[in-house]
Amino acid sequence: MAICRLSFGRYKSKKESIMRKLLSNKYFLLGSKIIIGLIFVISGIIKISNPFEFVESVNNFKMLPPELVNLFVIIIPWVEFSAGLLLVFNIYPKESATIISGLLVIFTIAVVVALLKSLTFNCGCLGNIFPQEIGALKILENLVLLGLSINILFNSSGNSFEK
Amino acid sequence: MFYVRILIIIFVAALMGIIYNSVSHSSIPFFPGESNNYASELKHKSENLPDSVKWEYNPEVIKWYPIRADQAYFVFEKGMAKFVDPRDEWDFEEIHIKNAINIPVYKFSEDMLKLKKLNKEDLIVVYCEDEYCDNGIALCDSLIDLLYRNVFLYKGGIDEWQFAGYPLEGTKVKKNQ
Repeated sequence: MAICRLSFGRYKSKKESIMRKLLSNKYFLLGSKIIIGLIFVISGIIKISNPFEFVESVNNFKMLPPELVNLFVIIIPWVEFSAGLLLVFNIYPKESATIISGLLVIFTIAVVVALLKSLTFNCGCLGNIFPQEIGALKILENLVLLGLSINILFNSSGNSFEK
Repeated sequence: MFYVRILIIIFVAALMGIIYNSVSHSSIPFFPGESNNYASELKHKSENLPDSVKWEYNPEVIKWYPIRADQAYFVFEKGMAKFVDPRDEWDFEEIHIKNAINIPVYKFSEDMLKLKKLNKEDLIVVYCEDEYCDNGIALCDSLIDLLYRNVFLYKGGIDEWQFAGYPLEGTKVKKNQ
């Protein structure tokens, strides 16, 4: 029994160390940064180029007071764009990953609240060019991106200027 | 230092957003102003009107909409819309709808719109001489190209407006009176 427990413990710790190695692997981190960065850069550009469309999307969620919607629409796409660009070029990756994680948390909460209110519409996450209905798939997608950006936050080393 | 950098990134991004919005063709007001309320009021009123006077209007679709004399007068009376006259200055001086703005089609430019203080969210009613005048359609198309959202064309124009006895201004009007 004791041997069985010991071998299971070893198996578990071996699996954990493989997982840890994968998550901190520099190529995996680089890939994550480029993918998340590009998604946020593209999303930012689409929203910046058509603010009216983004206003409609934000209004659909019915979460922000109408007085703050326009300000949100003017500022948030630029925060997405800047954080994404910094991440792609590995400049202050921890800081960019923190901002992106924060945005993903906000977006995920918004989608969950909208679903709880039984609302269905195009989330406007990537404008009307790539329409995406809010739903479980959107939440899953956000959680995967959130996981990857949190991994960058904990496992990334400094920025490209410091190397 | 970590948190300071985060704040700096957010601050710089926000600043870029504000600057871009001020110079962009498709800028939006920082806070939804009265014109936005007018747009939603118009939509709401339209939904509650009988079929005979219902507006063909959907603020989510950017295109210009035709508007009849009674509808034009409705928004005129409520002070909800800016009336824009695309005819040349001489015709405009002679006779135009009260408080209308003159933007001759041949002079049309974005600077001209800024000068006349036409905002993207304003309700704009374009009218011309009569239903055969194409300048109204040309001006509506140009406004839509620049993403003006609430553009209406009053086809009956100045002739129908005058016939209906609605308020007018101009040198010719004064002479007649």
